[in-house]
Amino acid sequence: MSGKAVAGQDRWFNTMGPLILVCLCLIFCFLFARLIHINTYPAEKLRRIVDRQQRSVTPVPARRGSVFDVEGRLLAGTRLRPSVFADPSLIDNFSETARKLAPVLELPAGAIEQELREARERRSRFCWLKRGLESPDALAVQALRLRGIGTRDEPKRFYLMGSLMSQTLGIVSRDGNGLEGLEYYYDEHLRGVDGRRVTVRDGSRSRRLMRSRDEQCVDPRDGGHLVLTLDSVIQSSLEKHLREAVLRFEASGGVGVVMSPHTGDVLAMGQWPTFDANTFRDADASDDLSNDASEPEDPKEREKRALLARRNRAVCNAVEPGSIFKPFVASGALLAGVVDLEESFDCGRGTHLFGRRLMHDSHASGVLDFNGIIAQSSNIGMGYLAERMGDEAIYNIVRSFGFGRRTGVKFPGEATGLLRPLKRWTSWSTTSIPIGQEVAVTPLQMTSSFCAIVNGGVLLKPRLVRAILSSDGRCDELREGADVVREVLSAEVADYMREVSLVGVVKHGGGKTAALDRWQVLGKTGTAQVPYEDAPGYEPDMYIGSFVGAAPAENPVVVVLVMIHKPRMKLGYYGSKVAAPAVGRILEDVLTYWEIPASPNAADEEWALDSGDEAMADVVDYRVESSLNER
Amino acid sequence: MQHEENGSNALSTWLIIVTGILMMIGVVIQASAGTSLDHSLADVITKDQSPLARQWLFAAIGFCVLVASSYIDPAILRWREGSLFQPSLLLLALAVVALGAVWVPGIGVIRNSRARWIDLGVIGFQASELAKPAIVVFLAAFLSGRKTRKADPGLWWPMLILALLCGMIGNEDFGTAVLLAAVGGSMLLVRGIRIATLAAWAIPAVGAIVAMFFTHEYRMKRLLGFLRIWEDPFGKGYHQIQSLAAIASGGWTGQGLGSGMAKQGYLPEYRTDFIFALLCEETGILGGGIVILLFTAFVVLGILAMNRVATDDGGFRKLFIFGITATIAFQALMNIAVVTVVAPTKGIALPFISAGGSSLLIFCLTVGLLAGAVRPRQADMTGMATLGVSGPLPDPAS
Repeated sequence: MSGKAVAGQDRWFNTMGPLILVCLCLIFCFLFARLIHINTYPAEKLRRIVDRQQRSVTPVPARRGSVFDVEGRLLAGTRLRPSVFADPSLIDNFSETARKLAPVLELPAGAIEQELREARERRSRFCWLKRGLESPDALAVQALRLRGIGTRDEPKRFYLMGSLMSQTLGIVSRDGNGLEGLEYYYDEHLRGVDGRRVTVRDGSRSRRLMRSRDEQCVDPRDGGHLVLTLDSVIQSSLEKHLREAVLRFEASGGVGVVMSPHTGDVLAMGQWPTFDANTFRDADASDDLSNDASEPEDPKEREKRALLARRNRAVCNAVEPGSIFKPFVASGALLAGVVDLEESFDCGRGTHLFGRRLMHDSHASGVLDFNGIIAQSSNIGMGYLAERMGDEAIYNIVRSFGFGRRTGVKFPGEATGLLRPLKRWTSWSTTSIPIGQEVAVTPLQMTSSFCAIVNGGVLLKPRLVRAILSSDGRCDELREGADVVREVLSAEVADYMREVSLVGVVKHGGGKTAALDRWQVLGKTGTAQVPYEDAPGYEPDMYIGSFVGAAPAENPVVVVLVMIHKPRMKLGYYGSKVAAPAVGRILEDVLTYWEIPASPNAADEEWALDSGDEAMADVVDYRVESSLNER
Repeated sequence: MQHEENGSNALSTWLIIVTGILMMIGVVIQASAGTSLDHSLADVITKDQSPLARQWLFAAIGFCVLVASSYIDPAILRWREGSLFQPSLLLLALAVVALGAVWVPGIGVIRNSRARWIDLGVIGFQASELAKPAIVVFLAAFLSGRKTRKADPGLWWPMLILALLCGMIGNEDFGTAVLLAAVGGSMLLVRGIRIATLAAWAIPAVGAIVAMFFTHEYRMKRLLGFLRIWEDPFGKGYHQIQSLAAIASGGWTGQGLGSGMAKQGYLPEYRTDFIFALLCEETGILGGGIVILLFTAFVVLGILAMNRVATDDGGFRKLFIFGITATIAFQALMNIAVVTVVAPTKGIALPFISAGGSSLLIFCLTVGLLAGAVRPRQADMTGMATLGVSGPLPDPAS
């Protein structure tokens, strides 16, 4: 072994040893670079993972705003109610947990177990077991101290007036979303903005909460409130009389609207059958209906009926109006100056041929003047007026009254109704439309248009909401005065229609059944056939009897429309028979409620019309059933 | 000479300081890792039932061992020509016995379904910890007695022993086997083994590794999991993703000591193999960088020590310093590479910082000896002359 070799070996060592160690140092530098790399390049993805597994976001629900009627009575409010939920992943023995919970929740143990199993199968760590409990029950659940079972307070909507104006108020889902009606339309305002609580969880099986991340927490912003134009006193009168009329005439349903003619405020809007929004999942259209008492077995059928009861038919359903439509065209004839008030029309034979169309009156009325045509609701008389006006004038006045387009009321799902454009009119349209056929109107359209006649000729936009309040009760928006759409009639024509022609209907015509002792009522009857939903022509023996009225005639403060759908024919079906008495009683209720002074003299000569002795005789006993029929 | 002696003294002091800082960081981060939902930091420090108390104790003892052993010259372990008593062989034999004892019922303990531990009553003892210094000492002693770079048939012996040891460990603790192979291989390399000889050994080694991967399915999974962690983020990729997530949520300066979330049940093995991720989460790139810097500094000190150390022993001390420095550097590299997902999961602890008493004590002892190797000493001061290992030794080659 030579010293040279040793020196060579040492040289090799002195080179290779440090070299290897320096390489290791370089790898350390590389790992440091990797550390920075992790914090920059995939960092967002990784932080999202961290966030997802560590962050626990609990929504803090905002309190939904309340709804008040025009007098400040609470209609819909929100309370906190405990709900019971489960985390199936923490429960070892489903059947035992279910067995212990069953008596407290008043649910079958099997159903609870089933719920838990389903939640586990979809790998969910959360499922509701029962929502909206009473507080003592929730305490009992907590006292059981079951692993994986918890309670959480949830806001629950309450409708303090039960079924009153439920179709207008609408409904709210269990999660606090407005689904229908005003609850839906004003959902954004009412619901407020949910807050959230952000906490950090550990990674253990029980996922314990550790600390709150305050900088990420958001306080809820409670929802604002609504003050409606509706008055629950008037509403209850409307619903009561609707119900009575529907039950008495064994009808399939009834719809009514009460409006203030000077402001366009809807004072009441309702229908029968109705439902209770507190228990809307059980709503059933056949409720209390004598002509269809059998419970439908088919759940789909039940659901369909429930939907029907929930639908606000005053706004969302258009029907063919029938004779109730006549005053609008007749006032157009006055406005156009095509008819002389002294002029007489021969409607005597009960039938008349207009072009190729043979028109019928329900009875021979003899020779009638303008007021007589309206009072007797003569189809032939309307045919004469229509012939003189011509299609365009008819179309224009009907259109001007707002038919064939939405009123613009702030309510979801308003129906447009039907008014064909002029170019699609047939030769029959000229005589059909003036008597309320070939058109479809919603009850709300009908009422607001009638308001335009009785308030001096101004069409107003109907309103449901009087004021929008913020969550602390401050008034954000107050709707005062009236939203004028347009002037439809001259004041002279409107006043004449109101004071003479439509009063005549109540004094001498089909509206006698709506007359009141203390106040002079005016109005118009209508009896429409019901067209098939999906076929041309009309259903036999199916009618809608309706009456639209206002009082007191010298300065009407309220307009009431009642439509009774498909009354049993042998019990009566004319508007004068099925709807007018209800309108009379609702008017009476409202005028009494508002303490409106009595009309100067209901039987005064000023109001009387020289339209035949028979009619005059009826004024004496206006409650007797009218011998006059319309259309 | 005086100047150089001062420099050598300073070198050994710096080695102790760097190691001490790493141990302090380890104690602090272990304290932080001990805090959880159930224990506040105060609880962790005061209540002695927590594993932290052991960490404090071992760190304290370890530091004493470190300082004390820095006054010992490792040359006592060198090859004794013509003597039957070879301390390096004794150490090796002890390591082999310990590795075998792992399988003896009553002594061996199975943790994490792997038999790596020996129960000595007071401390659990990971047998492979002893194997690391044993192989370094053995190779340093054996190779320092040789003089030539030329093909030396004697190099077959250390190769064979290294391979056997790696085989014994590798079956249960693949990471440590790789570490031993790397350390032993580089020691042989610097000592002049021919590349061809190394390659001849590499073929059966690679074959053994491949065979091991196919016989041990979990290793296969680990390897594949490392390459494709995003395919199964809650299964094979879980460890790595959680590790990366912890590092990423640390940012530059971290979330603050004790505030890390990874230890709250998200990151497995957060006290041992993945402590570095926890450190990065709580102290950020800054903290992680400091630790990397300290390990780098340790390696640099090792290089300086190699240049300073006396060569009167046939290169034993030099080779010993190289081996110990390489062991610690390789182990730290492997650990950080695993934590930062640039290498597959192996189960390698971070020296001085990961929890574990036996590992810490053995590291302290070996680093102390490393410091002791460069400490200048005079024959009359050390009192080692009687052992015949101190002072200028006759060149065994001559």
